[in-house]
Amino acid sequence: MDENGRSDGLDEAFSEIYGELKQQARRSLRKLPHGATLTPTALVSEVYLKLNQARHLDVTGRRHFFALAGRAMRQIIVDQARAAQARKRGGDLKAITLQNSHMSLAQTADEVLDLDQALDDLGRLSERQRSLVEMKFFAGLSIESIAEILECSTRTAHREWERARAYLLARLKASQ
Amino acid sequence: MNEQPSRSDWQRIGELFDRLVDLPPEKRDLAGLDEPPHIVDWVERMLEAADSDDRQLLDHTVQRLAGQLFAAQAEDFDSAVLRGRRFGPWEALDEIGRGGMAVVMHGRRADGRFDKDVAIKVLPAAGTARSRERLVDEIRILALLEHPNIARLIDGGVDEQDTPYLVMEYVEGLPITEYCRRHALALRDRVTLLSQVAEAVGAAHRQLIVHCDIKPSNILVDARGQARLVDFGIAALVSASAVGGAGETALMCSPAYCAPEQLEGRRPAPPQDIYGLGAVLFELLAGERIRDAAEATRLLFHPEQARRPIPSPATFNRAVDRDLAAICLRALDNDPGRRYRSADAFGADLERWSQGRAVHARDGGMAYRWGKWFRRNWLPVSLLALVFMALVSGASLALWQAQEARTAQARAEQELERATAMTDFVTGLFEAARPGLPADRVPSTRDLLLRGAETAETRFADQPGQLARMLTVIGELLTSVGLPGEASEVLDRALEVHERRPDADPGAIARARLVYGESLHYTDRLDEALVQLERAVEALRGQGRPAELARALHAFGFAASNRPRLEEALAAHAEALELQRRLDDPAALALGLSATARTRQRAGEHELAAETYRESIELLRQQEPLDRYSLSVVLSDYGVLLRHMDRLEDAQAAFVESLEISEGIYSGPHVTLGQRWNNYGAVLASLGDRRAAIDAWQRAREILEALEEQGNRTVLAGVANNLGFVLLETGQADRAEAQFERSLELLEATVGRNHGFHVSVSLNLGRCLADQARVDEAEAVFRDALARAIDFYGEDDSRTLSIRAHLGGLRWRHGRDPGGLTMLQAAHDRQVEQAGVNDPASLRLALELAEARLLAEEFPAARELFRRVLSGSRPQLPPGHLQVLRARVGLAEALNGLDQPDRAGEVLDAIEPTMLVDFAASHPLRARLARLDAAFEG
Repeated sequence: MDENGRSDGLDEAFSEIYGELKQQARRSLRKLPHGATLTPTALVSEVYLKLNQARHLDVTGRRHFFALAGRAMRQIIVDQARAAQARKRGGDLKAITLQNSHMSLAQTADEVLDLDQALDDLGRLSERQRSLVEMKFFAGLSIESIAEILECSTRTAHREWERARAYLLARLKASQ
Repeated sequence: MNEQPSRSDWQRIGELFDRLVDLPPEKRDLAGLDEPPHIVDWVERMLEAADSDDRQLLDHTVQRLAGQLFAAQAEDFDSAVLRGRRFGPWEALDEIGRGGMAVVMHGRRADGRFDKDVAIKVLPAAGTARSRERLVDEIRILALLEHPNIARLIDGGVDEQDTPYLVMEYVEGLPITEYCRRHALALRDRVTLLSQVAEAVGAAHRQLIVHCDIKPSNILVDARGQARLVDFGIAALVSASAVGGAGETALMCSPAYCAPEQLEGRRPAPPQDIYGLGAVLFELLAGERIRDAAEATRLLFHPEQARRPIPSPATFNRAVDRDLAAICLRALDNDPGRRYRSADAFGADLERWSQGRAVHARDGGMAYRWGKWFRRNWLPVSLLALVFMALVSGASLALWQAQEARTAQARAEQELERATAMTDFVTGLFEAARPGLPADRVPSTRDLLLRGAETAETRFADQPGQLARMLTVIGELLTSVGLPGEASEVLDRALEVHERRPDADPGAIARARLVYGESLHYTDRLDEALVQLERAVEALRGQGRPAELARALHAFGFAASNRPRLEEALAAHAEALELQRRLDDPAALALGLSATARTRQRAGEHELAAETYRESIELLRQQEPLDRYSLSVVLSDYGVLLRHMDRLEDAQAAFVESLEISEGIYSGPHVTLGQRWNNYGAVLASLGDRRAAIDAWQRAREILEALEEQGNRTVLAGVANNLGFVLLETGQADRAEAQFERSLELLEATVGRNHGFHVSVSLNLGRCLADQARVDEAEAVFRDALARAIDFYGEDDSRTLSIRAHLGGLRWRHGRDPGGLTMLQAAHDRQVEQAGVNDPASLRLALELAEARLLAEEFPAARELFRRVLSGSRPQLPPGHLQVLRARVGLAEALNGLDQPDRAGEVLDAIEPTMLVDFAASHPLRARLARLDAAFEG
C-alpha cells in the first residue's frame, strides 16, 4: 500500500473482497424486511464464511482478509454516502423510514464522509492505527482479534485504539 | 481547527496521551508540560474526547450510519416525484414513511370536499407484480376492518397510470414505545394502551385476518392517547390459501418482534400476532427488545436460533411484578399452542392485571387462583387441596368436642360459623390483600404468608389446635413457593404449639412433622430432617391414610439417600410405591416414581432409575390439566441421569424441554430456575460447547446470587464447582481454583465435609492444584478426599478409585513414588473389572493411565489405551470433547514415538481448529499440538 493508505491496483484480493461485499449487501438487502438494518459486521462475517468455505483460508489468509474487509467495507459505505450526497443535490431528501425519522439521509452521508476524511488523515499519521480502526468499525473485530492480526499484545492494540479513537472524536467534534 | 500534526508529533502526542488518560482530569498538569503548544493542544483535545460520553458511542455510530445508508439503498426511490400527483380525487403531499415495498404520502382531497388529512399508500413505478397484488390485498383486508384502534380505510383504487393506491385515515402520532417514553407513562397506563391494540388485533382475528407484522412502529398513538394499528401490508387471511403463502411473511416480517415459527416460514396464524403483542409488551415493560439488532440480523440468516428462551421482563425492570411478567412470557411462549388462545384472552388478562385481579397467565382459571399460592414443591395441588379440606373438617371436629353440651341446633349453627370463619381466614389471605392496592404493588407471597402466620397467632390464640394446623398449612405453602427457611421457622412453632397440648391430635402432629422435615431437608438441615421424617412415618403407620404415609416414606427415602442410608431409603420408596399403586392418583404416583428414581440413581442403579423416570414422565404427560411444574422438575432430573450415563443428546433434549417449561412458570429469579440453568450448562459442557456452558452457568449464578439466603447455597456450590471444572478444562487453573474454593466454602457452611459432594469438589481442587504443579498441596487434598471417599462410598466405588488413580499418578509423575503408576493401573483395572471397559468412569481412568504410560515412553501400551478411550468415547461424546481431544493428541504422540508420523498426522486431522477456540493460550494441549506439528515439519 502506498503512503496515503490507498491500495489501488496493488491488491487483487482487495477488489475481490470489495466485489463480494457489495454483492452480499445486495443479496442481503433483497431479503431484508424494512425496519431491519443491515450491519457491516454481519456482511463481513457472511463473506468471510463464504470465502473460507470456498478455499480454506490459512492463518495469514484470514488475517489478510479481515484487514482488507475493513478497508473494503469502509470504501463501500463511503461510496454509498457519496451517492446519497449526489441525490441530495438533485432533490430534497426526506426521512427514510418511520423509525429513523429523526435523522436525514443527507446528515448521515455528511457524517460518514467526515469520518472518512478523518480516517485518511489518521492513516497519514499511523498506517497501523488506521487499519486498526477499519477492522474495529467496519469489520466488527474485537480488540483481541485485532491484536492477533497486527501481531502485537492486546495491551498495545488497546492503547493504540484509545489513541486513534480520541483522535477521531476530536476531529469529528471540530467539524460539527 | 488547528493543523494536522506530523508523524513525529503524533508519536509524542500518543505517549503523552497514554500517560495522562488514566489520571483524573484535575491531576493532569497540561500547563506544566514542556512541549510545543500545538502538541499540548492536540493532547488536550484528545483527552477531552476520551473523557466524553461519546467515546463509547462512536463505533455504534458507524454501524448505525452504515445501516441507514444500506436502508436507503434498499429503498432507493425518491418520493419527490410523487409530490403533487393525483390519485383519484386525492393529492399527495410529502412522504411520511415507507413500509415494505410501498411509500406512504401525506395527502388530502384535491377538491377540498373532505377536509381531513389522509395517508396515501402507493407503490413506486418499479413495484413488482407481487407487490401490486399485496397492495390490492391490503385494500381488501382493510375494507373488512372497522375498529377504533385500526387506521380506517377511506378509499382505494388504481390511478390513470395503473398504479394501485390506498387511502387511509392519517394518524398523526408516535410509535407506541416512543409515546410511552416521551410521556413517561406508568406501567399501568402502558398496559392499558396495549390492551387497546390487543382489542384491535382481536377484531382482525375475528375477520380471519392476521396482521403478521406487529411491532412498535406499526402501532401509532395520537395526541389523545388513542392507539392505532397500521400497515396491514403483509397481513393475510387465515383461511385463504391464495393470500399470504407460507414463507412469504417470514421474509417481510421484522425479526426483532416476530414469532419463531413465522421466521421459520410457517403459514400466518393468529398465535404469531399474539407473540408480536407479547414482544411489544416486553419492550414497554423492560425497555429492551426481546432481541437486539445484532440478534435480529443474525436470525435472518439463522431463523432456527429464534427459539432461545426469553428472559423475564422483570429482570430488566424490577417494577414488573410476577403476574405481569407471566402475561408477557405466556404471549412469548415458543410453542404457539401454549400462548394465549386469542388476542382477546391476552387483552382480558392485561385488563385483569390493571384491576388488581388474579390473572390467567399461569395455567388459567380457578387452577391459577389457588395454584398460584398452592404451587407444590413436588406433590400435586390436589393433595394440598385435600389438606385444606381436612383442615376445615378438623375444625368442625374440634368444635364438636368443645361444644358437646349444646343442643344439636346450636351446634350445627356454630359448626357452620366456625368452619366458615376458617375458610374465610385462608381465602382472605389471598383475596383481601389485593383490592385497594395498586396492581403493581401486590405484596409478595412471602410477606402475605408471614403476615398470615402472625394473624393466626392472635386470631386462634385461644385454640392452639387450630393455630397449629393453620401454621402447618402456611409452612407448607412457604415451602411450596420455594421459601423453606421461612417455612421451617413457622413449622417449628406449629410443632411447639401442638406438643404443648395434652390432647394433641397425633395425625395433625404427624402432618406437621412431615412438612417440617421436608422444609428442613430443603434448607440442608439433613439430620434434623431425617429425625422429623422418621417420626412422621412412624406416626402415620396404621392411621389409615396411605397417601400421606406414602408421601412421608418418599420424603424420608429422598432425604436418607443423601446419607449412607441407601438401603433404608430404597426400602422406604418401595413401600411407598406399593401403597401408591393401590390408590388411584396417577399424579402422586408420578412424583413418587420420580423421587424413587432419584434414589435409585444415587444407589448406582442407572438403568432402573431411567426406566422409573420414564414411567413418571409418561404419567405426568397424561395428566389433564398438565402439571407443568412437576413435569419440568422430573424432566430435569431425568436429564441429569442421562448426562451421567453419557447419553448427552437425550439429556440435552430433556433439559431444553424442562427449561422452556420453567421459564414460563417463574417470572423472577428462583432457585429452581438457577438449578435448571445449572443442569443445562452441564450438558452443554459435556457436549463440548464450553462457551455456551459458561454462559449458562453464569446465568445460573446470577439467578442464585440474586436470591439471598434461601437454602440455595448447595446449588450455588454446585454452580461454582461446574464453572471451575470448565475453566480447568480450558486451561485456566488459577481461575478454576477460586471457584472450587468458593464451592467448598459453601459446602462446609451447609452440608459439611462429610458429604459426597464435598469429596467430589475436593477431587477437582486437587486436579487443579496438580495442574499448577503445586504437588504438596495437591497431594494433601487428594489424601484427605480419599480418606473421606473410602469412608463414604467404600473402597471400590468409582469415585474412590478415581481419587486413588489421581493420587498415584501425581506421586509417580513428580518422582515421589515409583509405585504410583502401579496404584493408578490398579485403580483402573478395578474399575474395568467392575463396570467394563466402556463404562464412562473406566474410560476416564484409562485416559489418565494412558497419559502416564506415554510419559513413561511405553508407547505401545499407551497407544492401545488411547485407542480404547477413543473407540469407547466416540459413540457418546462429540469430537470436540476434551476427553476425545486428549486421547487423540496422546495417540498421535504415541504413534510418533513409534516412528509412525503419517498415522499420527491422520489421527490429528480429525481435530478442527474450531474445537480449540475455547482453550486458553497456555492450555497444555495447544503446546503438545504445536510440538507435534514441529515434529512433522522437521
